[in-house]
Amino acid sequence: MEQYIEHAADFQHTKNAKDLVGLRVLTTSGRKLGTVREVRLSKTHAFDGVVVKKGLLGRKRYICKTYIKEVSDKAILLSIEPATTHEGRKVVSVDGKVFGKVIKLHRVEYTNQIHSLLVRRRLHKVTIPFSHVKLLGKSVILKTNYELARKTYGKRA
Amino acid sequence: MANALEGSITSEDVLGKNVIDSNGRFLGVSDKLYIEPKTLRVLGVSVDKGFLRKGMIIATHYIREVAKHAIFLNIQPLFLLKGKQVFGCHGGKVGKVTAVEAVRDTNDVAAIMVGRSRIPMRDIGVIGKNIMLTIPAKDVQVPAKAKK
Repeated sequence: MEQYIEHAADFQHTKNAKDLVGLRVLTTSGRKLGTVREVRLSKTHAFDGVVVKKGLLGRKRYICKTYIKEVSDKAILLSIEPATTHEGRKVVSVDGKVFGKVIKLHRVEYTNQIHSLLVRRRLHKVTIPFSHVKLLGKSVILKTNYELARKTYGKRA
Repeated sequence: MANALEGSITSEDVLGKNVIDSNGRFLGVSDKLYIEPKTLRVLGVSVDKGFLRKGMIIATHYIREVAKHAIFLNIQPLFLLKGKQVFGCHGGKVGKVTAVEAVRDTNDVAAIMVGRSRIPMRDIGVIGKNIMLTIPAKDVQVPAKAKK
């Protein structure tokens, strides 16, 4: 193959963008986020990120190249655990009582930094700042006990 | 006597509470205390996981805190690894965990079994939603079938 190259990698060190479509996308914890549906280029025609979707009804997520750790033949590995994967988790006070359920995570612009959590508590919604969260795992554990949490975040969002 | 008992907790404070592991997962409800008959030392707590599900016993040194509404552990029990997907370091699929080998009776992983392959702890990178290895999927050794 003839090559016309200037200030760029030679052909051997490039990847076919078509091969990326259909690759599985894994987060740091090994969670399968979905498969690559689109490869997006920037205005300067450089690789900028991928659009990921899981199944037919899953939501589409755009992951920019900053959060991509590795692109291999089998998968794309991310350097993050996307914040939105924590939606639907139980919120538990530090003394172990269930406070509510996360329905939405507010992020700092489009980054993966969480600003606050919108929590459904009985019939209303409350906002909890992320600084009040002790652990973000299988459930969200707050730094405060139930009584204090009830008083602090009791106001409707 | 009253001063000596100050700050102590009773069996009522421990039993009937939700048991939550270090990752915030609800494991079940504490239902029994195991006490050594001679020294009367509490050895552990049994956890009822629900109808038709096999319970487990958690030794006291794995209990981080007995809070007002729950018992918090400082570990993630090994049995939770079973059924997780295993991926190589480049994202290649290895399979599902079929069994977990523990270091004696502790909660430390010695190895995991994926099908017939035994993956030692040194090759395990991240244990999270799934398991990521530190070696590529193709380097996982599958033992040859024994000839009849």
